[in-house]
Amino acid sequence: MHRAERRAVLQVPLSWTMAGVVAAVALHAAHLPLWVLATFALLVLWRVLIGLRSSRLPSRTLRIAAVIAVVVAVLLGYRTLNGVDAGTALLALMAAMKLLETRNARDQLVLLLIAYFLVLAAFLYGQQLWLLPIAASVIWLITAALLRVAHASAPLRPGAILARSGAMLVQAAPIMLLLFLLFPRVPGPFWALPNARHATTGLGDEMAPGDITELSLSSDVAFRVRFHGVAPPPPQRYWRGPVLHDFDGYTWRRTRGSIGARGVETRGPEYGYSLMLEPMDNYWVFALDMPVYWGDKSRIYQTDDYQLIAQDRIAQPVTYELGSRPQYSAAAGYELSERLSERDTKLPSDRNPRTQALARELRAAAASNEAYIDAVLNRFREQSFYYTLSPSRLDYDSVDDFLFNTRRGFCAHYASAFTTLMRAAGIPARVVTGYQGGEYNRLAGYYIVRQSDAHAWSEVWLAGRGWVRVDPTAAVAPERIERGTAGALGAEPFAERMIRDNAWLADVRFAWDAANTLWRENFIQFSAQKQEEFLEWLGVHQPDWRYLAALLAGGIAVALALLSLVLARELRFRSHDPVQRAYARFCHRLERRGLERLRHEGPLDFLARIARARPDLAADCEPIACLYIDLRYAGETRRLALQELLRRVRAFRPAARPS
Amino acid sequence: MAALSIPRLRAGLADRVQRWARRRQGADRVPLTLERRRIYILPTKFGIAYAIMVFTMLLGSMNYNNSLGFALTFLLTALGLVAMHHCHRNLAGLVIANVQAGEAFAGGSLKLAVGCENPSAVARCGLRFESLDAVADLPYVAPGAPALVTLDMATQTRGVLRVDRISVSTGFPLGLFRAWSWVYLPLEAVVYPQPSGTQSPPPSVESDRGALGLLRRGDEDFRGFRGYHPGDSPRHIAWKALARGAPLLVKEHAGATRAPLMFELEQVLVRDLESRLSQLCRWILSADSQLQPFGLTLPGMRIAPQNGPPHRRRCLTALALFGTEAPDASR
Repeated sequence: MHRAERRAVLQVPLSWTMAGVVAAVALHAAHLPLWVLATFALLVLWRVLIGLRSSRLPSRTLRIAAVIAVVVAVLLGYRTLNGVDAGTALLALMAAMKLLETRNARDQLVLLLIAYFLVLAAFLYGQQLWLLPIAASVIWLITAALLRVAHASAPLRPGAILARSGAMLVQAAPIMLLLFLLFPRVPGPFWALPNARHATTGLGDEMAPGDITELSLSSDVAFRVRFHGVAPPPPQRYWRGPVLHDFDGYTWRRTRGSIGARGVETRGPEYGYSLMLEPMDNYWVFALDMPVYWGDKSRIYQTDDYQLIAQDRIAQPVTYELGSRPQYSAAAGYELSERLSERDTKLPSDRNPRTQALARELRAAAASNEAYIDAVLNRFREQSFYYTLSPSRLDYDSVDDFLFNTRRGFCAHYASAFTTLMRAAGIPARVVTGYQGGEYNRLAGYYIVRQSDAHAWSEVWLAGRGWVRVDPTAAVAPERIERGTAGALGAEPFAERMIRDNAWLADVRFAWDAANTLWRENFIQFSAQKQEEFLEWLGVHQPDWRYLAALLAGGIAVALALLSLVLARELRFRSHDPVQRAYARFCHRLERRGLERLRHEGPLDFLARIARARPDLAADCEPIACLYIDLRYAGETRRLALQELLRRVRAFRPAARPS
Repeated sequence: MAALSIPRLRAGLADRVQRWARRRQGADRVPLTLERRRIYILPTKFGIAYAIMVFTMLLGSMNYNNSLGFALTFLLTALGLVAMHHCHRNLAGLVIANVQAGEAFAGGSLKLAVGCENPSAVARCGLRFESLDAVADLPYVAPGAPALVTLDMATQTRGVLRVDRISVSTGFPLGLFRAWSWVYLPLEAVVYPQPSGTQSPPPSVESDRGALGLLRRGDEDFRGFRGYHPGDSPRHIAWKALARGAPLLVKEHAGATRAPLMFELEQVLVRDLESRLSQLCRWILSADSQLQPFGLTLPGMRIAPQNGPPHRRRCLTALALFGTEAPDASR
């Protein structure tokens, strides 16, 4: 007996718990490191084997050793135990360890609470629309496991457990919605967000040849743009990202400049738009050149190289209201300062010597800086330069190698080479990275800019004109600017081409994208401000928290009252037999007049008692009782008899008092 | 201030709540429907842990300003509220049809059979019945079905065991809340003395023989059959004959050698009253199992020799109550 107790048979409730925990950890499969997932899987498998073979759980010493090993491993792997990443890994592994010592219901309940928590942790990694049904299923499974574990001895089938827990979640949904809409939202954060760096795709703050190539293969959305009015023509859709100044001969790097754009004069049409940024785990707000206003001046600032930068790291989807004017120039009389001029003409003198020689030669032949620029672009256009996504690797002196050997490259190569040529000729020039173009979602009326639209171009300082954008890639592959990367290459993956060519499939994709955007705008970004707008819409102006609390409490009370009604209705016994139902109705009506049928009373006894207590009802009751007896006990099967019974019961309205 | 310990405070509070509920509800009679008014509900320890978890989730969601996190937090909050209603509903409308106490000897267990019915369309799960220190679980009652649960109560001493209150509780569905109802039945079970002692029973009382000729029906020698009368022991029914299709007959035996026994408190040689009663109890049980008629004399009371279950119960009850506040053994 004692031995049997110590053995850890795999009981049904434990299987449910395991399923719940495994499902919760599976939500993290994409971002937990492989060793954590493998350790988790091994520990779970170990527990399953122990259960199947009814052997003993590992000893206390072994378990403590394993816990220490896990903590040390997480500490080594993440260098911290704090933060979402390390916390998630630790929670997942601890859940698996807990499984190894789980014997009673209490341990399992603790595990299921951990599972709920893991679901919350998964939301910190992303709140995409597709996650919703998956997470909902996991929550359902955990809740079902909770029910199963709390009532291990109840003979409930899995279907009944799932049905009951599912029904409870559905009943909880309206209250959740009320809380979601009305619960006072306090703008966070309360404690510093741990600096979690996720491997997200997006532009970096440096650029080596070949860097942007990887991005071009990603169809992840970088941001979406909805223009309030007309959109600028495609050649003007340059979305400015990090501006790179510092060049070591191979890699371009960003340098910290001062805040505030000086000496810019914008003109021409102004385009207002909402920029719906996906979190890329950096600070960059990709504005259309040249931004003239941006929503929150205290949270976004502009650098001296015109880039917009957010105060806080963008870790959540966020929407900004921006305005831009694509036409701009230097303000009259504004000259580039000595320091800035030097910053953008610096080249490592010992690197790319052939390029420097070429620059001097071409500049000498040109009449002006403008003529020199044209000469360089013509060279790209006329000589055999190719635009390709799979360029060969470049040498240490990357620009030399590209210009004189390979001649195959992507926007990063052209921008790098062009800027180097400009600097070598003494013209201030810099590389600007960002995005170019965007796909129009014709169903929802906004532009989708994907990672594959990442781009790099050059800016040169021309006296009197200011910083002028020159896109050398356009010289080689003008289609890139007109139709995007895919259009320029004509070599996109089969699936992409299929979607692009098939209007119906494209529409499905646009619809899905539109759904995601709606989800984002209305759900993920539901904030204190949106809540206020919603209340405004409800007709509640400037509510204080007391009003909100009262509204919330009232709403929840109504929801719960409705729930009570639903639950009470479920209790009522409803026979499938119309005869019995009719008789029950008949009895119910008599009960309301104070004539309750006793539990032991047959129809005839009841009838006799009615006749004694209320002789006035006897005439109505007698045929009903007789029909009921015939139909229920005497084998009467004619429809006519049933119809007669139903008709009489329906018409039976006993008066409160004898007339 | 040792008197102000937490367990004492808790016990005191529980006592006050008890008295309040008792005053509020009054005494009950079976069959009894557990109505909404008499169902109480409070969160369990696990429910409190769950609430703390949900609160932590709320803080996390606020800190990360995570909408799905908020949604999960609020869903779990709502789930708790919904679970509370389901928990309450799981008890509401349950019928306690009858409560019956079995036979008990001091030191043994008193079996309290609680019959309940579920006159609704929804199954009841995870019911727990408690009374004094006895606990019995009823995992499942199907819709429209009756169920029987037995509470095994330990007894210490002979006499009347007052079962004031039976509690019916449930943690269904998620174990976050415990709903319970107190049923106050004026139930008094008689606990007989513990049968013990080694003294052999006194010889039969010859003087009583003539007067009780009618009852001299032992089971020594088979004498013949006679018709069944209610009250005859099932052991004497001619089952084989019945199986062959004969009417219900009872085998009669020549019991001439079996004179009725007369047990008296004075006959027991030990001094201590409880041991004496225990000895009498053992004699009664053994005489009863041998179908020997017996009588009982206690100071101030005399029960004429007889046999059969009602007689046995009467005698044992007399022993149980002897010297206690209700010495009315003749009922």
